[in-house]
Amino acid sequence: MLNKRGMGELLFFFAVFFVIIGIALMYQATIKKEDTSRFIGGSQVASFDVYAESEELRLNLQEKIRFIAYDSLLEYSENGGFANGNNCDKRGNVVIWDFNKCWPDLEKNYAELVKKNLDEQGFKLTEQKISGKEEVEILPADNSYREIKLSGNVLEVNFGKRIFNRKTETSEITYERDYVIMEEVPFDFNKMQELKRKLLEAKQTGNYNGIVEGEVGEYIDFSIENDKKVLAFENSRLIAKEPIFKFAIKV
Amino acid sequence: MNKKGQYEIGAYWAGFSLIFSFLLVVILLSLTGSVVANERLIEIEVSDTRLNLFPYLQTPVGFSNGEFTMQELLLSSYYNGDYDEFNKKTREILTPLYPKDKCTNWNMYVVKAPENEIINSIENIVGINIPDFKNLKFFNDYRQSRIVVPRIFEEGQLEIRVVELC
Repeated sequence: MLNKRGMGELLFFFAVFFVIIGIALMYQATIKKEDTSRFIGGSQVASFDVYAESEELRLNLQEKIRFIAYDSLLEYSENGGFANGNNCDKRGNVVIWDFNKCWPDLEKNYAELVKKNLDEQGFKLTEQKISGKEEVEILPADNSYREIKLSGNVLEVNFGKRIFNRKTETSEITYERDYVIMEEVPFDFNKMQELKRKLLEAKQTGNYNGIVEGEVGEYIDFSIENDKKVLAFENSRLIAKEPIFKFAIKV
Repeated sequence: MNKKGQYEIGAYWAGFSLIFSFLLVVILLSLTGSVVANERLIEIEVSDTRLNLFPYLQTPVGFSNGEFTMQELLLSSYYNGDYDEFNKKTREILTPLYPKDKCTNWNMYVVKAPENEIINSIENIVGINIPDFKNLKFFNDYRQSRIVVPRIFEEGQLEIRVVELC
């Protein structure tokens, strides 16, 4: 039988014991909570980062392609659908369209001009290797692209696939993304094709009514203004310019 | 004081110390747990702000009598050395977004990279001394998000850094 003091000591012993157990349990619970929150948050942050990195690359490629499309359009318009240094005859500095010698394939010429400007910006066309019947996927370097297409007035540059990786404490995130950059070119290729067709017909019939007004001389000059401005880099400054598509034809 | 009295006072002190140390441990442990969770939440919020900068850069804006994007306006401002229009349009876009959750205000800096030179700033929060952005992410109540755009016509990038007061 315990006396009062003995009972008190026993109670005190139990109190100390429960406090120690309580602290140990609290510590374990906290560690678990900390681990859980770190693991969940870690994966989310890594996912955000991977997506942001991929989106940043898309944005950068988009902007580069936009300026290449602008540059190409200005050069193309100045030269009546050709590149600088073309072999066409000129009237002043205006290119003369000649059915036998200098008759532009408008869409093809523009795509080639874009390709030339991509090359100048350090982008290289990569080849896809074919192994037997299966196409071998080659991951392109940062400065490579696979294909240029012009559909209507939409320029499409395929940069192929890029892979983004992130390692977290508990997982590894791999994100694959295809980069096909579409840029609307502010130029009406269809309308120009229509004009080309009409000019051919007029050349054969000798009737230019509906294409030009008034007397037709030896040459007809065309100057087609664009209502959308593009940015041009000139003398270390960026200026907004309206591309003016200029050419002449000999009647 | 007799022996019994001394014993009782000792028991009271011992009991009080036990309870105090238990409470102290509970408080410390709960703080440790929430710091980790809070850091994760802040990181997620920072990522969220970074993602918001993508549509900001693609926002259509009119300048020089043409229709362009904020990213093109930034490049135009950089090459022409005049940020007035860029700052005005940025304020028009970002000001209506604040206060945003716990964040009450924002600053924006345009930094030339890799030179790490601040070339333009919009400051709504005054008194921030930012010689180096590296450790700003969890510095006091400031949160920093950044996005990089190429300079296109020369080597290097322009970094847009948004500092939020949250």
